[in-house]
Amino acid sequence: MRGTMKAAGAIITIVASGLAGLVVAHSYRVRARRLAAWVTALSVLETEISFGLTKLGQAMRRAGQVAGQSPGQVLVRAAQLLEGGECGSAGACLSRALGEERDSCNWLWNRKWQEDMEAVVVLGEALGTSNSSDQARHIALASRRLERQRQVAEEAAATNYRLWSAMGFLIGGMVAIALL
Amino acid sequence: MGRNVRDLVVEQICPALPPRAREAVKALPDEIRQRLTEIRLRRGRPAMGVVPEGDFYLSSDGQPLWPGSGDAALNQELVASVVMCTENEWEIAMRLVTECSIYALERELAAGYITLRGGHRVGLVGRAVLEGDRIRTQRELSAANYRVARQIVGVADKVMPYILRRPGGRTSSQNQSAWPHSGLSVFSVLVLSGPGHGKTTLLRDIARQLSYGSCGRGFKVGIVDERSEIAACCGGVPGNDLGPRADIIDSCPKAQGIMIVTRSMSPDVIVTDEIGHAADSEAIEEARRCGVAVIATAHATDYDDAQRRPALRDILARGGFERAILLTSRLGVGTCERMIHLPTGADLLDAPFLLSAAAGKGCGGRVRCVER
Repeated sequence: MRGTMKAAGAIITIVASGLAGLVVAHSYRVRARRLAAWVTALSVLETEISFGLTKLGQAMRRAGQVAGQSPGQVLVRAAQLLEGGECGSAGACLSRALGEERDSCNWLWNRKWQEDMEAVVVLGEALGTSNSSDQARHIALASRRLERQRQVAEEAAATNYRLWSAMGFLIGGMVAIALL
Repeated sequence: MGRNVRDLVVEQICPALPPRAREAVKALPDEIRQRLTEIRLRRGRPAMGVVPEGDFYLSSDGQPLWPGSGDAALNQELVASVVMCTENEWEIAMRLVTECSIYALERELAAGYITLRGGHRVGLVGRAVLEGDRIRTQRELSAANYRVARQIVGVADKVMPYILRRPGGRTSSQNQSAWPHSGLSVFSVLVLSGPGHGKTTLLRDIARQLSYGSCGRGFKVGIVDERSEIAACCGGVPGNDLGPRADIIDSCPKAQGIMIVTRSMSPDVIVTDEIGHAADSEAIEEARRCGVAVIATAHATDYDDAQRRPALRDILARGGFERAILLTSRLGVGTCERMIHLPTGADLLDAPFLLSAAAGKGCGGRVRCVER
């Protein structure tokens, strides 16, 4: 009976630790995907602003709908805040929407959020305040920064995904052995 | 010309005002707010409202502060309650008016106005940015004039008989057997007045009545709405009622718009606002050659004033218009002062009259054309 209990405990420890490892591994991929979605969103935003001369609220909404995922929610919310006139400048609306999105997400999935989203926050301060060619330059600059971050995130994900996928189970196994 | 059903100022203009000015306008007595024609914001100076009788300072308690014995009084007694347009309020106002989209409004800023939803025009002045001889845009904006645009249904009732041409060469029995007014056509008409006398309001109702056929026959009306003031289009849907036969080309330069509408929509009549350039005259002449009547407005205090403007003189000399309506505010805003039969120069009116929407039902399907 005692042996059975120990075996069950060991299995639970290994599974729990393995799952935790998988979650950590997944968080690396989430970051890379989120950055890729932001690059897509900014590309749509640039098209809407510099070619369509679409009003900023509508442009952010369309970019969000195309990009989906996290940037989709952030941009649609920022558009709501902007059109509601309750939040102030485009930068303030975007920062608030980003903050709300960050607070609603799992902390683990917000890996390096501050570092990644700094380009978007800086872009927000310039959105809508100048002519279309200037806007295109601001968006292209932010897009380049995000693309660079995405490449770094992809490399980190490639290395760490497999590492953490195995690491969880290994740690769980070691703990189980130690407890046995 | 003061009838109003909805509180347009609260519904459509207040959302584009900064908080303190917005609250002050909302707090105004209804009878004042219903008659507001303009709201003026000047950076670092008091916010003002304008009614036909004059202007007043907006106050935080909602009571209009009339300058009275002179603006000097403002400094001593009224300054505490006057709503000032501070830097912060001005920034908010510009953000609301431009919807944080300066890039989408460069052409409008260069022209000095932005049109809000509902067709209300916000005039803007600041420091012009030049590109060669051309104004590319404006920066450091310093003053805004929110002009309230009100559609007054039926305001053109008294004018319609002067705009419609009786069928020529037909007997009344021939007309009645097919369609009582099937031979009706439209004169080319130029509406002249200074700013704020109701040109656009009259033009809008003329377009509406022609489109509905409220005088017997419905006309295909092509509306060239460069400033979005006539139709107040939003998302392709006109905000003002212009009837079932109105085709609107929005935010398009007049000369190009007239040509596009003439070629593509086969209108009976083209309606456009504030002509004044040589290109407009050429486009109108081309439309007239295609058999399309044109009803347009222009800034001029009287007919002689119009004659002094080269583009208008040119088109008038070439017979581009058959009638001219002169509006003033002598008997109130929207006084029809003269109705000039341009080929002869005769005035068709016995006496000036005030345009009004008393009937509000158009011509009720019956029209007595006034020709001379």
